[in-house]
Order: sequence, then C-alpha cells, then structure tokens
Amino acid sequence: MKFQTSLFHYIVFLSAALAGGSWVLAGEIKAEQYEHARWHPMHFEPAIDQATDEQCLSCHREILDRKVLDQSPAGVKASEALAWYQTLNTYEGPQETFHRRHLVTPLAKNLMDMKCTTCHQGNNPREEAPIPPDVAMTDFTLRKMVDPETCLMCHGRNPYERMGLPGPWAESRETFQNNCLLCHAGIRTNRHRVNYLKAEAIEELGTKDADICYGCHGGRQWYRIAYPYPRHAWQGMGEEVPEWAKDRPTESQPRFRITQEQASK
Amino acid sequence: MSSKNRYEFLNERLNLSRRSFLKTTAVGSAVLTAGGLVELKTAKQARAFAYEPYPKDDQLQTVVTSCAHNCGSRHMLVAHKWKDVVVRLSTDDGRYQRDGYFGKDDRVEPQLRACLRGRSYRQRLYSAERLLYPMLRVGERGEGRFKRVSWDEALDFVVEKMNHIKNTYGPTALLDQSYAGASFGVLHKSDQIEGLLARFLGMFSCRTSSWSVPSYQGTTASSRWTFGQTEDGNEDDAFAYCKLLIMWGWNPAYTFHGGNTFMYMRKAKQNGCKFVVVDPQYTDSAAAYDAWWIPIRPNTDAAMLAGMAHYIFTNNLQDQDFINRFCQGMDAGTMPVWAQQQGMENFKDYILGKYDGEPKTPEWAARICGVAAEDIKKLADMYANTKPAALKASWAAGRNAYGEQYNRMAAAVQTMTGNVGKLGGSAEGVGKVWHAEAVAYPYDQYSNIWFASIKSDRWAHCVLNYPNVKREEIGLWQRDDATDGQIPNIKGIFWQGSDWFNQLTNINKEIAAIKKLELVVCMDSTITPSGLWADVLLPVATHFERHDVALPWYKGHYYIHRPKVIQPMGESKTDFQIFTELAYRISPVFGRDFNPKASRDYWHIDDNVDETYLRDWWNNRVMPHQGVDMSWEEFKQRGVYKFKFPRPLVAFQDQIEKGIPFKTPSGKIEILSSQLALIKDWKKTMYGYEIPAIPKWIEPWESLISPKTAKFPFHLISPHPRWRTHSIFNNCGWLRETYEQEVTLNASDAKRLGIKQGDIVEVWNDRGRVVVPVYVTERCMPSVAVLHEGVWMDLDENGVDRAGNPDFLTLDEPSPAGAFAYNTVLCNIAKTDLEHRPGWDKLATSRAHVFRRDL
Amino acid sequence: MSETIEKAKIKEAVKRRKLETYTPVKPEVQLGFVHNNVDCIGCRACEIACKDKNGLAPGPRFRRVQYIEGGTYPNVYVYKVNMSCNHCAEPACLPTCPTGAIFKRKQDGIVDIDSTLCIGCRRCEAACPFGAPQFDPVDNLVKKCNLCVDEIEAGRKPYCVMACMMRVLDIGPIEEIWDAELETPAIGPEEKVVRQVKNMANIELTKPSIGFVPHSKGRVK
Repeated sequence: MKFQTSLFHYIVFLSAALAGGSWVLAGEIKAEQYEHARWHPMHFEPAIDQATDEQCLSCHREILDRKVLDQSPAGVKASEALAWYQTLNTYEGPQETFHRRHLVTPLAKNLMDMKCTTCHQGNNPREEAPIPPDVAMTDFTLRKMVDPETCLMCHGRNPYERMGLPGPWAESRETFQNNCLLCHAGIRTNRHRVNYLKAEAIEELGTKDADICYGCHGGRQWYRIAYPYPRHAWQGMGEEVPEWAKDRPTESQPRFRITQEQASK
Repeated sequence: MSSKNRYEFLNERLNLSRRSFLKTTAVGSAVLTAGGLVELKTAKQARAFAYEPYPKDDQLQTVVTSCAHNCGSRHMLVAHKWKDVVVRLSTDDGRYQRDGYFGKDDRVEPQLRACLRGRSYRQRLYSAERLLYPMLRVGERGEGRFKRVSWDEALDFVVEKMNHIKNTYGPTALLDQSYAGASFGVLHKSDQIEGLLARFLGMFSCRTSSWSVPSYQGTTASSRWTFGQTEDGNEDDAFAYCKLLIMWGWNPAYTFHGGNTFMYMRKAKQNGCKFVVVDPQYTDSAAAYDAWWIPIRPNTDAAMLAGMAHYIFTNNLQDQDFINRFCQGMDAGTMPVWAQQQGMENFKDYILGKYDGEPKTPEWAARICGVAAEDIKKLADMYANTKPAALKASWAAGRNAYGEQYNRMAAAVQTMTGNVGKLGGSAEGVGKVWHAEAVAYPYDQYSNIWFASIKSDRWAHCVLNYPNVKREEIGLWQRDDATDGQIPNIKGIFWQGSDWFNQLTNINKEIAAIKKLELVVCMDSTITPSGLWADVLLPVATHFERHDVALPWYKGHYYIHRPKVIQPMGESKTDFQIFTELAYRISPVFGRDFNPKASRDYWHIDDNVDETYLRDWWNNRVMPHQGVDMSWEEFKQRGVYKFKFPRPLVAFQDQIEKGIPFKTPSGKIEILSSQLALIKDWKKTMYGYEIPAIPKWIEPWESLISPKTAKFPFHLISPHPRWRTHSIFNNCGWLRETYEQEVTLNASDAKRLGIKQGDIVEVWNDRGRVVVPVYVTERCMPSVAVLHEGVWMDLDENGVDRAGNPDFLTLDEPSPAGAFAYNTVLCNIAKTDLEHRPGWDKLATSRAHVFRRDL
Repeated sequence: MSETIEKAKIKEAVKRRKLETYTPVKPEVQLGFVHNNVDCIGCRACEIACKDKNGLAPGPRFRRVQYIEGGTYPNVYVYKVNMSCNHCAEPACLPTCPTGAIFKRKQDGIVDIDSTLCIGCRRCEAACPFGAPQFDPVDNLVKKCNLCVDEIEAGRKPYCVMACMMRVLDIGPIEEIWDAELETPAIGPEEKVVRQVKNMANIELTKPSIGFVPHSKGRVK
C-alpha cells in the first residue's frame, strides 16, 4: 500500500497548503476567531470539494485523536467487548471510534480510501434544508451533517431475494459453499471502482474469504433497505434489465468516480 | 493480522468460559436488548437510568412556584427538590389546582405552561454569574473590578454616600431606576413607579423618579387619552372568538405575552379565523397562524392605518351608529361644542385632507409605508367587513418617534369599525383587562414620593448638561409647589431589578454620564452589564429563595404561590431585607416606618414577617375583593389559584352593552382627546412638546423615507428576543444554544453588500458601532435590519460593542408622550474583520455548532 | 490473559457469532411522537425541558426543533420539524453498538441507551439517520432520549410533551397517530398525519415511530 499512510498525506498536503497559501490551518486561527473560522468558505460548496483531510483535521483533529473509553462507567471493558460484526477476520485491533474505523484502522487503510469529504460535503449549519425544501435533495436530511444515503452504500441490507437466494445469506451460505464468487465470478460489476474504495485489494481478499464480501454487503447492515447501486455494465451482462433495476443509473455519482490518476495507482 | 494474533484477539473478547452463562441468560436479554449481537465477558444488562442515583420525580419533593421575570406572563414552575437542591423543573400539568388532575387543560382553567426561558431557570439560579456576596468597586467605574466585602461595610458605604449626596445636592440627587425585571411579585416588588425602591428613596426624601416606561409609554398614553384607562384588553381566551386577527407588529411566539395567548389563537385558527401580520418580519407567529404577511417600513404604521381609515370612510364602511353613540371627535358630528367653537380638527376631516389639502388615501400611505395601496385597501376592506375582527396593535410599533400616534390611530380604526367592547374584537393597545390585587408590600402615603420626575431615557442628557437643561428636554413632570420646573441635580443611581444601563437608549451617552456620578448602586441576583458600572453590588436572593406570590400583569387570571424553595444562596438577601436594613442604618424610625410589620431582626429572619404580609394580603384583599373562597393555607398547599370566569373578559363590554361612561373626561371614546386639546403651554407638561389632539401621521426623525438614508440606508429595529427576557437569561447556555445574537438582513440587501450567511458585520451610525454575525433571509423586508435587544454589552478598547447591543445605535430622544424611540434608528452595515464576541464559551460547545447546530 | 487459547473453541464461537443477525424486537405497543409542523411556534421549550430533565450541558440536544424556511420575499413560508429519538421499529443505532448499551423495550418499543455501558465509539451516532444519539464530549459518551420512561411508568407523559405551550407535541401508540385516531390536541380537526416530510431521511432505513401534521410545503408525494 504505497503512499497511503495518513502521515504521508499530511506532509504532502501541508506543503501544498502552505505553498498555495489560500487555506486556513488550525495553527493560524485564534480561539476568538471561532466565528470567522466556522464560516470559512472551506466548509461549503464548492471549496469543500478541494479540502484535504489534512486541512480538515488541523481543526477537527479530535476526530482521530479521541479514543474510546478503556471502560464504560459501569465497568464494561472496551477490550472485552465484541460485536458480532467484529468477529469477521478483516476486523482487528482494539475497539475504536467510528471515525478511526473509517479512516485509519487497518481495514480502512487496506480496503478503503475514504476522505473527510467522502461523507462531509459541507452545508450551511444554519440551513435545515435547501430553500425551497426539495425531496430530491436528500443530502440535506434535517440536521444530519452527513447524508445517510452515503452510509447506505456499504451498510444496507443484503438483497438476497434479488440474487435469487433461498434465504438470507446467514442461512443459505452453506448451500453456496460460503463462497460469493461461486456466482459473482461471472456476474461482476465494477462497482468497487470508486474513489473511496480500493477495488483491487477488495477483489483479492474477496477471493480468499466470502466474509469480506458479506462484511459490507449485508454484514454491517444497519439499515433495513439495500442501496440501489448504479448498474455498471459488465461483460456478459444480460440484455434484459430486471424490473428492480430499471430506473437505476449506469454510473456512480460523479464525485465518486475514479480519476485516471487514482486508477493508475 | 497474523493468525496467532487474531486468535488472541478473539480469545480476549469471546465469552468462551461463560457460554453456559450466556445460554441461560441470553434468551431474556437477547429479546430485550441487542438480540444477542454482543459478546461481553463483563456481561451487564442494559437498563434505563443506570446512573445512580437517578431520582425520579415522585422520589423528590415537589414544590410549586413560578417564573418571575419581565415578560408579562407568570407561568408555573414546579421544582423537584432533593434536600436544598432543585434537581429539575417541570411545569403545570393540571394537578396542582383545586379539582385538578394530571392532564386537566381546558378553556376556563388552562395549564400555565412555562416557556423556554422559565424552563432554563436552574441555569440562572445556579449560574456562575450569581452575585453571592456584597462587592465594592476597586478599579475605575466600568472597569469591572470589585472586591468582596461584608454586608456591614457595603451597607455603611451606601448609607454614608446617600447622606452625603442628599445633604450636598438636595432631594433630587438620587435617581430611581428600579424596574420590574428581577422581582415582580406582590411583596418583593421591584417596580419603576411604586416598588420598594420608590418607597425607600421617597421616605429618605431624596428621589428623582423615571416616569416613562420603556416598554409601552406610547401605548399607555394612547389608551389613557382614548379610552380613559390602560385596561383596554381582553383576556387571552377571547382570542379564540376572533374571525380576523391582525397582528400589528405583534409576535406572541417570541414574547409569550400572556398566559396562553398563542394557544387560544391556535383555537381561533381552528375555528376558521384569518390572520394577518403587519410587520417588517415574517415572524414565527405569522408562520404558525398561516398569516397574510404585509411587510411594512418601520415607524410608518400610523400612515398605513390612516390609509385604511381613508378607505373605510370613503367607502362608508364605518359603523356610524357606534361612532355616534360612543365617540368624541371621530367626525364633525361627534365634535363637542367647545371644540367646534375653537375650530378644532376632527379625525375624519383630517383623514379626508380637509385641513392640509392632503387626503390620507391608501396611495398616499403607500408612498410612506411601502405597502402597496391595493393591499392597504384589501386589509381595510377585510377589517371593516369581518365581524368581529381584532386589530391587535402591539407595543412594538409604539416604541417609536411619535409612537403614540400609531397607537391612537389604531384605536381610531378599532373604534370606527365598532370592534371595541365586543367578544372577538379588540381595543388593544395595552392589552390588560383583569386586575390582580397586586400589593402586599406596605403601601401608604410614602409609596411614591418624588422630588423630580423625568422621561426615563433622558437621565444621561440631564446629567451631562446640568444645569443647562430645559424642562421640556427631559420631560419634567409638573409639580404643584415651588420646585416645579427645577432641573434635578442627579448624583447617584439605584438599580433594583433593573439592567437599565444596558437597556436604555444611546449607551455611549450613558457611559459619558455615569462617570459624573458619585454613587451607583446595583441590587441584583446576577452580575449584569449594568452592575459592571456600579460602585457597590448587593446580592439579591432570587424568587426561589424568598416567600412571595406571583401574579400575571398582562393576561391570565391566577395567583401562583412562591414559597422559599431553597435557602438564599451565598450571603444574598431579599430586596425587602436590604432596604429595611439600610433604613434602620439611616435611622431607627425610618426602619420601622419602612417595614412596619418587621423588627430589625428581619435582616436575619424574614419568614414570619413575609408570611404575615402575604397572609394579610390574601385574607384582607384577595378573598373579600375577588370572591376567592380558597383559604391562604389551602392556596399555599396547592400552589395555584385559577380564577374561573363564565365568559371571556372583554374590555369596555359594559360601556358598550350597558352604556356605562368611559373613564375619559367626556365619558366617550376620545378620538379627540379633551386632555390634549386643552393644553396651552406644552413646556409645562411632562410631554414638553405639542401632541395633536387627534391621531395624526407625523414623520419620525429617522426612517426609510428620510434623506438621512443617503448616509444610513438601513432601518434598524430591535424587537424582544425569545431566548432572553430583555437582558435576563442572556447568560444561560441552554438558551444560548437556541440562538445567536445576529443581525437579520434580507437576502437581496446582503447580496448587494457582498455579505453572505455567517459573515461578521459592523452595524453603525453616528451614535455607536456594534459587531455581529449576519442572518440572511427572505423573511425580512429589504432595507430593514433586525437586531434583538438585551444582549450584554461587551466593549472593546475602541468603544465598539462586540456583543451586538442595538442600544448603542438607538437615540435617547423620546417621543413627546414619552415613548422610547427604540425602533426609530437608521444605520449602515458593512462586512468587517473584527470579531464578534458572543460572551459565552462557544468553543466549549462547538460540537453543537459543527454537527448539530439548529436555528 | 490466563485462559489458554483453544483454537477449535474459538472457531466454533466465531462461526456461531457470524450467524447472528439483528432481528428487531416486536413491541407489544409501539409508542411514538406526533408533531404539528405548522402550528408549532418553534419556541423550543420542549428542548429546554428535556435538557433540564436529563441534566445536559450545552452541546448535546436530545430534542431538536428544526426550522425550515423558504420562498422569496415576500412570498415566504416557515415551518418546524421537531424530532428527538424516533424510537424506530428497526433502529440502526442498536446493532452498531459493541457493548449492548442500546436496547429496545418489548412493552412499548422505546429505544433506550444505558450510557453506563457506553464506551463512546459513536457508531450509533453516525448510523442514526435522524441525529438522535448525542455525543456528550464531557463524559465522552453517547446519550439520547428514552421517552422519559420514568414518567411513562408513572402514568404521565414525557417532559417535552408536557412542556409544549402550543400543545402540538404528543405521544401515543404510533399506529393510532398515523391513522390520526389518537385523541390529541396536536392533531387539529380534519388534519391528516404523515410519516415523512421533505428533507427527512428515508423512513425505510429504520422505520421511525413518528408522525407529523405537515406544512403544505413540507409534504412529500
């Protein structure tokens, strides 16, 4: 995994930021300037699209610095807690905070390439909703600073019915030799080729262990619906579009599309 | 992860040794909790309120009390106490009144639910800003440096200074600036005119009184002239009977003005009432009642009302029978003989332009007020043709230059449509109707002695220019003795329950004036921005820490018992204790006369004396005068007495239905005011300057139609915020979380100035300069800026207020009738690099801003 | 670690754990809130009452009155959407919790968090589509609305409901609320209740137990 340590990012982008001179970093902001900092253009479209993690973290560094409690007030030790999804063999290390799990822990570093702006797209904290309110603009969801639809991309329900499985994967996995690739070796979309994932690493690990696939596609299914993934064409894809896929786009949202530079890594 | 590490990792976490334990318990817990999703070696069952101790309400002592501050309502607060600590507060839930039960809530006896300010009371009670010990200034005045002293030292200091000032400068040298801010009860009363301070300084024979009331002097003046009394309102349940309700500059969703006003208005809406809001802002009241919003330029209300009157007269929509029976001076036919003989103007002919050749047509009005003539006609038509219809003329539009003319014009329009004295109509105005028995404190010939009385916002002008001050400049009240016209030589100020230094107009001028004084005493429960300019700070117990009874003074008809919920904090004492002790220190006779039911021990033990005053008040006044059959003991035990009326109270119903005369000189509704018409020498009145005898449009000294807009293009208004009562509660973090002190601008103005949401701007005029963030919205009229009053000033080294107090920009020029011109302000606005100082640790709660920020 | 590592035992345990999926509790009655978006004056007395009841410092807000404004001068509109925890039928917060601190009550469907079991990983906060779990930076823990279960058990209603000056916030069995059959001042005569309003996250994510009397501009088709 070259060029992937956060530290390296920091150095690269710190230099860039200082050279560019247009961005504010925490060190330049005094406490009494909080009001100005809070409304810095970097927090909003379009500048936020260019914001680097290093810039974000220079103020919001508690996102990575803060650790979970060693033990809860009632004495539950973090080291002895284990959620079911944490038994997956990609999941390792001590209990961590949500942000660290998405940015700096091994799973995050190995399989994902998430940035602050992957989820945080910036909005006016004074605006509860777009003006006028618009049901289509779900990125404003009444006080969530992150659109839950973004989370749904990985944390949705496993739509086993659509895959023609007899039951939920937990029940039918034995039938399919606990091997997703039994079917998906042929039915392959390129949907991992998005800029917040590391497609090759995922593919490679997926061949070794179906739990890797399941870990996202239903394993950590916080939500009760599946994400309506874009229907990327793949070689050998049937001509007929099934009913449930009819309205789906054929590409990821532009901001998730992979650039040439990233693709060559 | 290597497989060895991985097994170690899992072994640490999996409950291998406890499988049997989990098997037996997991069934229950799995259903109840996480569905068996979690493996814990230190297995703990999740449960509600696991924090110990979590005292539930029923395990705590319940004490009924009320909120206290200066909103006009008094809603119930119920303290849930553990030992001497208030653990939490709830409010009326129907249980506490006679025949009450949980959930009882009806038209006759609605619950008296507290607003957000009241609900935050624990934060005020236990705030870091509480004054707990007497303090004496050690730095320069206004520097904010104090040292803790004993009560003896503090009181002796005050007494010595008082004596010196009286003996040196005479009986006008001490200025009474008490207000109803902190202590409005029947016993421990801080009040501008007749409270405990008035009695104390009056008996001391050294008192200059402040007669004009900041909130509503234009409105009370209008109601006294027009209807002969200030009780021109309906009880709030009467709103439910309106078919049309015009909220003129009125935003009860912010003020909570009156017990359940806003809720009864919802009932009206459900009954099909149509709502109109005439206001520069589309307020939350407008939104909640789905009102037709008519944006109007500030301080032009009288012109629009005149345009409505013109439409009504020229279309003959007035209730001529009503006018003929009840009015004086509405038209030629209702002019009294004496006025006709003197060739006085009547209202209708003024409107029709007979005298000045300028008919006050809707088109004429439109040019002034910025409301389309068509909208003026439409509203006039709606109002004249909907019966009954309520025009609620709020105080806000009266807090203006010539604000009294707006209120009188509104009263004329209310009257010409016959909406006075009728259920569903309105003659408000002031808005009071029900009379509480308000006085349990000693009330006698000493209660309001004064040696000079001035317009309240002219004190600084008086101090700075003494003795070269003309009586009309300070609105000197006339006296019957040789001292009439004598300019007071003010050398000291007392603040009791009052943050007037922060709240009156033109603060920079006050700052210049206060430096000339020899004594500034502040009595309050918390430090206030005024207190920072005092010489001595006397810590006053809050109403949670003393015995009293709460009364609403606006709308609502009930009493709420206020026991001593907790012991006074620190060394704080009640106002009554402090004045009594000061009086004893001046002379024992003074002490005894000031507080006749007490001995000097009152300083140490106040319970029995306060109980006696209150019990006597209940037994001798409330029970016999108001037909109350509940005993004092039962009242104390229940905590609330709610009056039940067979029908909603409506002002002037008897005058209209039974022909009882109005309390005006003529017994009529005086559109032509006899009192004003007969004044010959205005300089010898407290008004100082002429006031027309009929309502007229008079152009204010600053407004959007003034040439001054070339330099100062924005009209600034400073309405009451929802998250403070004036300046009280400004220090409560919970409330701070719900708002920001910011200036509201229309989006088009902001765009033109290159200002966007969140920018920090300077707002300034010739009088001062403040720094605040901007709130950019479509809800505000262009060219109008809104900055809520009451924020605690925070001056930088250049005298710029970084907190954003609009009273650095207001002018200390009262209207002739005494109305404060709080809303008569032109200013300019520009983006700035200066920092706004919210006066509260925002960084500590920045998370709320970054991730969860509402508003 | 005194226990010896028994690989077979671990393997078996892991296999068993992997089969676990989250099946939400089906409550006997599901309680939920109803809020009138139009008649609410947005005063936030409910918020403050809640903070007082729960002893919260400025920062975490169990209940959030949200202002929506729109239109162009002078044709503007404003309404409020008031949410605390929606006590979802299928809460997303619950399965994220690694310590079992979050639970859903069988008798009334209340989703509660036992913050004494919380280690502050903040997964639940991120997973909730409505912003209900609130991180308390002082305690380094997540806390949230529990519908005042102590008041419910005492036969009363939550503090927020009893604080509402306009009587536009109430609780009741959620099915009755959705059918506008609940006798409550929150729902006016002839008013209908909806489950979703504009700009609110997709209710299919977690099936929140909340109903709104919507503003005309806040309706979804």
